[in-house]
Parts: sequence; C-alpha cells; structure tokens
Amino acid sequence: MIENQPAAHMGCAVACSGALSAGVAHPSPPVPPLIVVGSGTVMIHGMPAARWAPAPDFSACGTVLGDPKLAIGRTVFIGGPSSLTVSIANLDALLQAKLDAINEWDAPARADFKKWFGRTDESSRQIVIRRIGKMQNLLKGYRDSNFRGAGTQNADGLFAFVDPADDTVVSVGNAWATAPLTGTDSQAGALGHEMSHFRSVGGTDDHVYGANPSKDLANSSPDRALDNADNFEYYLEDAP
Amino acid sequence: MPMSPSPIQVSLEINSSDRRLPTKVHFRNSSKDKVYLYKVNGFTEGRIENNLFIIEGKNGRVPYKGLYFKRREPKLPGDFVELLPGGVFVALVRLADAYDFPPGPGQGIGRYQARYEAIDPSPPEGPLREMRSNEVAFDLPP
Repeated sequence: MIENQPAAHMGCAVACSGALSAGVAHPSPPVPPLIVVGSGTVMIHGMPAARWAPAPDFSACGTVLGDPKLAIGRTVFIGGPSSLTVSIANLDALLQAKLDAINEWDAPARADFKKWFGRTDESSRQIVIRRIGKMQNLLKGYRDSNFRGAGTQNADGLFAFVDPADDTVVSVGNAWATAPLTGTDSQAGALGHEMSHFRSVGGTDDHVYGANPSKDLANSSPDRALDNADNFEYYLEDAP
Repeated sequence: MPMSPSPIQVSLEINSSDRRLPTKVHFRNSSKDKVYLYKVNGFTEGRIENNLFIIEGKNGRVPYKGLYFKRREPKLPGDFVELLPGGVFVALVRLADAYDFPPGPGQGIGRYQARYEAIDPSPPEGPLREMRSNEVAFDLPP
C-alpha cells in the first residue's frame, strides 16, 4: 500500500471514463487503458512503479495519473527516470551493439544478419547501416515528451503506433505496458520498430508480426524482410 | 523457399467517380476448408490500418499516409474472421483516406493502377502465404 491505496505499477489498469470535472478530456477509451509509463528504476512486482501527477507517468489513454491539484498532499515519492527514458537508452545501446557487429562483419555477424534479413549482400548491409545511423541521430533528441498515449487507437494487442511523416511522436498502447524493458518484444525493441517506420529513418512496412513469422519471411522473401519493421526489431533484440 | 498463394482470393472494385475512392475489397475462401482472415488484412473495422495497397500513377507510387501499428503476433481467435468454404467477406474502405493523392479538385487527375498485397498469417505457426488481388486501373476524377 502507498498512501493507504494499492500501489500501482506499469501494466495496472486505470479507471478512466474520459470525463473530468471541467469537461470531457477525451472520448471514452475503447478498452480499459493500462499504465504505460512508470519509474525506470523502482519496481513493484517487477514492473516500473507508477507515480501520481505531476510525475511524467501516464496511461494508454494519454492522461497523467491522478489529480495534479492533489500533489501538495502526497507523502510518498518514488524517484528515478521514467521507463521511457530507460527505453530510449536501451534502444541506443542495442543500436550501437548492432552497428559494431555489422562493421565487424565476421561470421557470427553475417549469420545473425542472414537469420533476420535472409541474405548478406553489401547493398542490404548498407541499408541497415544507414537505418541504424539515422535512428541514432534522431534518438539523440528524444525525450519523454516525444511519447503519447494511444488514446482512441488503444487496443490490448497494441504496443505503439506512429505517423510515418512525423518523426517526433510515438504513441504507446496497452501491450507496451506489459512489455519487458529488455529482451524480445521489449519496449526498447518496439521503439526501434516504430522509429524504423519514419520516412526520415527507414520507411519500413509491417508485412508480418512475430519472431517466427519474421524468420519465415527472411527465408521466403528477403526483400520484404528487409522492409519489415518486426524483422529489424528482432535483429536489434537478438531474438531467439 | 517462395511463398505459396493463400486460399483467400482477393479482388478489388474501385468507385473512381468519387475522389475519396470508395473501394470494395472482396475476400473469398477458394478452398474446401474453413480459413481465417486476419482482421487487419480484412479491414473489418472499415479502416485501412496498414500499407496493403500498391497504387501507381504517372508520377510513381502513391505514398501511404496512414498510421503504422506495432501489434502482437495474431494468434487468438478474435484476431481472425472465419470464412467457410466458398464464403466471402466484403470490406468497404476509402483509398484516399490512407494514400496521399494530390489534394484539391483537379489535382493529380489521370490514370492509376491499384492492387492489394498482404501476407496471410493464418494459421499461426503455419507457412506464410501471399494474398494478392487483381490489378485495377482507374482514373482519378477532377
């Protein structure tokens, strides 16, 4: 318990009708929204602890947690950077590790590349090098303020979405809330997936979702694997 | 190994008298067994939520301007629509909602070619199969 209320963490559902005392903040959410941002360093049940406003934590409907007017009465404070800040740093580390490997281009690096993209030709290698470089540059300017809740687009199976023409916003949904900080289908990997869609980064598409279909795609259609955002994500994540 | 065709046949009907390009997409089960259409591929909500059309005009490919979604792998029954043998599902979408045709009356007029292409993820853990429609020529009206 925190302040005599059950302690909340990322992945907990919030009760949100979309209505505020001052009016309607947003339409009624399509599914119960989960908390999608918490503390990046303080865990409850292994998940980032959620913090009341004015902390930067928010739910998939896009609103902060609790009433900011009540902030003065809070007695328990949970610190640490937000889980989004940690995801940005984690993605940066994943990108650098792959850039190092792709520059080394030894037998394990080529095998890894072939597993996710179906081939190891120089043109494909250069495409991925450029994509990583552009993403690293864009990521340097990324902050918590680049993220939104998925709002009316939210769904239980939705990690995130982007407008490919606007490389300044990533909107996150309920599946993001329960994604691990690292590993397969992690928040960092999902962020890399979404940023690869930006026209300024990679202009990728979504041909298939999931690690096994992505590996099948690499075998059956390398052109599409190179263009598939999940293939790029699983390559970054070293998915099994 | 190249992908085999999906048992779900796809055909397009584009109403090019309207600049919003209302389009009927017919999905037909051509097999003797039940098949399962992934809802995102079948536009079951009446919206285009993935870049599944290839539209080309005299100035090249018309860009997709819709959103891109990272979703979990479709495995649950609720992710699919069941089609009985011979069964048909028809979706109605507007191509101009998701593709960046030149805005404004009189702009971008001329001949275009459009087709639908997607990968059929059903059944989960099965081989990937390709869904591809007929190619339809249409004139964007003034």
